[in-house]
Amino acid sequence: MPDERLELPQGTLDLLILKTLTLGPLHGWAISERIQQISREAVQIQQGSLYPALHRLERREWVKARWAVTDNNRRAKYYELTRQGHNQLAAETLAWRKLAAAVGYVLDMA
Amino acid sequence: MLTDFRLRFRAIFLRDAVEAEMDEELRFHLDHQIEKYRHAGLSKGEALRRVRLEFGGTDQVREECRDARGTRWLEDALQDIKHAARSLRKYPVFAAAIVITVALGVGASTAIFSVADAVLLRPLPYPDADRLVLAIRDMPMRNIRDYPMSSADYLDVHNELAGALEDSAAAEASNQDAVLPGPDGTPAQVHIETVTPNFLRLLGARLFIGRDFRDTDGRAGAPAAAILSYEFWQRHYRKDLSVLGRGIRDHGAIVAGVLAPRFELLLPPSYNLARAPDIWIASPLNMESAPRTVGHLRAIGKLKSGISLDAAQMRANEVAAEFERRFPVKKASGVAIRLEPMQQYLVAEIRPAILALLGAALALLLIACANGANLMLVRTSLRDREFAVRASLGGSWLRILRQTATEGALLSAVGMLLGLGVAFLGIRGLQAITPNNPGLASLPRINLVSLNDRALAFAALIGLLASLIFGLVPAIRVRRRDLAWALRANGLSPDSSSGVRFRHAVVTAEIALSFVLLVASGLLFRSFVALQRVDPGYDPRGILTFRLTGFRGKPEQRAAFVREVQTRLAALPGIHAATAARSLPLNGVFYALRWGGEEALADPKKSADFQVVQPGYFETLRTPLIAGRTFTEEDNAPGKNVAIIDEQFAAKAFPHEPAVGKRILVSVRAPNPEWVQIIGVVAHQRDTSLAKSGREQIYLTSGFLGNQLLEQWAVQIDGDPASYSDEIRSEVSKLSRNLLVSDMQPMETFVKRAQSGTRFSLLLLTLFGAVAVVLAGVGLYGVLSTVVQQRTAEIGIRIALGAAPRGIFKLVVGKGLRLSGIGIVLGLGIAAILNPALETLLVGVKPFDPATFTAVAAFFLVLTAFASWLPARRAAGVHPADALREQ
Repeated sequence: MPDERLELPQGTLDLLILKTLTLGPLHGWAISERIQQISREAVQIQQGSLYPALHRLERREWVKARWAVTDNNRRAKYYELTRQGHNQLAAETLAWRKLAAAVGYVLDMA
Repeated sequence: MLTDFRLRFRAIFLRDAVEAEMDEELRFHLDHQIEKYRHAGLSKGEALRRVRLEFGGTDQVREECRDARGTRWLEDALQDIKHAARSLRKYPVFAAAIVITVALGVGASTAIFSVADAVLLRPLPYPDADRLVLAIRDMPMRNIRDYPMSSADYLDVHNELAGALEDSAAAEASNQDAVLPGPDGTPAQVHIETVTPNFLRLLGARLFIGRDFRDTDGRAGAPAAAILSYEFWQRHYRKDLSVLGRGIRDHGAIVAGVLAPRFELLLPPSYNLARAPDIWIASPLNMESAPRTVGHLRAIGKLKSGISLDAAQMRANEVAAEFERRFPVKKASGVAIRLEPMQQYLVAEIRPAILALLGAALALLLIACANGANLMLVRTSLRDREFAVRASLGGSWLRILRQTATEGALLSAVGMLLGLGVAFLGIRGLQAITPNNPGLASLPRINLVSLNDRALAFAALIGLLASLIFGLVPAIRVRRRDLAWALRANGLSPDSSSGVRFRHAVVTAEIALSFVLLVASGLLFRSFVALQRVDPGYDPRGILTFRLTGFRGKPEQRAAFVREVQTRLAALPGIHAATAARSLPLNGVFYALRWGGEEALADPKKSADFQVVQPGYFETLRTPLIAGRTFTEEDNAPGKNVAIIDEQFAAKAFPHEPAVGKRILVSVRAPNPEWVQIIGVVAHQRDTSLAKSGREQIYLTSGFLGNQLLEQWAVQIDGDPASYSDEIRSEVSKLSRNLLVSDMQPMETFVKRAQSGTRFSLLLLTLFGAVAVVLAGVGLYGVLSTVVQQRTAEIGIRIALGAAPRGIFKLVVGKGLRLSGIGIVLGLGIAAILNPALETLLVGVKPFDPATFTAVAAFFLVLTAFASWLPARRAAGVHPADALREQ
């Protein structure tokens, strides 16, 4: 199973986090779970790089964080998309689509 | 942006909370992940192992999170500063020594820099001040510089230089002061300055109300136009707007306007003009009426933009040559017209002193930095082992460098802040002594000196420099050290290691610099002593001087009036003699008069300061009579052509024969020269400067000059001059209510004022010198103590092998003497380069006075002996057994 997992290209982790958060506030572990589920376990997040990425996004004001209590009564830090984060997500999604399409064209050549 | 700031703020100031939150967050994640794997059926241990594998090292993640916060460097710096502060607190004496050293260096140099900035660098408070020039007339053949211009000369200069100067204007060379009744009728002295109508315009003066002068103001037939200073308007008229268009009471000029507040006339102190005239009068310049030989104007010009000073000066030279061609009288005296940048000329006298003090302050700063670096090195060498251990355990050199640099920066930052305090107090002190110190008052704009942004930038720059030196020097030393040495049993390196050599160099440099400072203050001290010993040709003790103005009588009543005053004053109990003169020595401007012997008047070299006096002048001032007699009341009349000359005059005019009874030609009261007979020879008076002998002098009576009214009075009295003030005032007021006694001061004030420049420089230089010597002495002591400490073992072995304690003593003292000997020689070299700059500050002593140099060198040798005595005694007293046990 591990062999089939994909390494994330540089810089796309931020994009995935932002996208994941469009459905509502989540804590860090849930974000990583959600990404793996949705990508059908194909995307392997370096769990170690998730938190630095979250802190970076928070500093850029694309997400905001607050402490809340989970269902089983534990304190957790929830991340939430900001308006700026929405805009950023839109812009990066577009850029990604263009890039993917362009890469596709080149590969389909021949 | 705000969030970013908030997060960073939290990261820095609530670091522990932030760290705890991060840990909680990571723990939460790990717990959930473990939980998930356990649900999937893994054992507890297996799940834990798996999670750790996936997650990677938690420490690494933490570090990355910290990096992501973007405050990493600051957090580390704060950490370093905390660490540095903690480690410095363990050595409070050491830290205090460095901080005080830096504070003194920064304080002294910043204070002097502020003075130099305000006085020398900041432009004059006039628009386009950099284009303002003084047009100065010299008479090279008669050795007279900066003599006022005649109206005709000024008008020629004004017209002929129109190509180079946008405009030029002139002001009367002396204030025409008057006594005018104030708002309540009491008489007040008023400074009146007469200027050409374009004068205020040229200086860009702004009017508060009313209008500036027009070119038609002051023309024949029209009443004189006046402009008041704001301060005078406030004081005298209580800001009464209706003053405009009215005549000034008892003067007659019509007020046209009032200047904006704080307008100042900044001209060289030697011109003796009021800095803030109360009333400005537009002068009608009349070419026909005034002869070219009567100089009474100071001229200011403004260069056309784009015209260089050199180009304008060339044009002025042509005008001067033309003058010499056209007027025989000018050919005889020679004419030079100098255009001097106003700002530079204004501060020309004070500039050398300020530059010397700035140099001294910078030298002090260098010494302070050297001493600081030296102390840091001592401390580093005591921590050799700590650093060596850290280095060998893999601590990076950069980390050690960062730590010493932080300590250095912390120390110099605190020192710099304290230094700003020192500078602030220094400036306040300087300003506080200014009013009592008229010599300093001639420092233009001393009142503007402040710790402004430029001074702060200067101090910050110095602080940065100091922190670089303090931080880097020890760190570099650590890097270059042979770590193996430090780890050996005694933990001490051999004498030849670079650190020790560096410290020797630092101490030598300190001694060299403080030698230079001490030589400078020694030379100034000798100058000051010389000034005190100067025989000025009069005895200022017990003489009270004042100005008497406000006489309203007819010209023919003047002689009787003056005689009356003289008799009444002399009759007061305790007053021995009273006299009047046009100016008193060291308190006025003296102008040159041309004279000749039996031959033609055209002889270029002969000019003397002339002085107009009442009989009794020499007796009152106790000026020794050398030959002949002094003036009597009988001599004091227009028809009596008699004169008294000073010994220098006599020596020049009649080198081989008695001067009394001879005749000379003078041209003073009429354009044509006339004969006067010499009736006496008196001692030379130092009238413009105590330091320089000055020109020869000739004395004429006020009677000879048409009973000219002399305003400066001097009375010789018993006891405290100040206690006579009321008596004199009331006696004078018996004569007329209009009379005004002003500027009452003991003559000794003039003498003190003439010494004040030297006293001021001496005071500051001695202060700097003393601090420098203490620092150098401490530096030397520190180095020698370390040497002894480091060589205790060696010394112990030597003593064990039979060396006499005396030999050991000599060894250490010899080391000290060698260091300071090199320092003194270096200091001699520096002094050889710098001392010529002191020339203008010195009186009666040469910049390379052998006695001063020898004395200072001897002083340093004694100082060295003292500084090495303690360490040497300690070395000589080393007991071999103790020394070996210390190993």
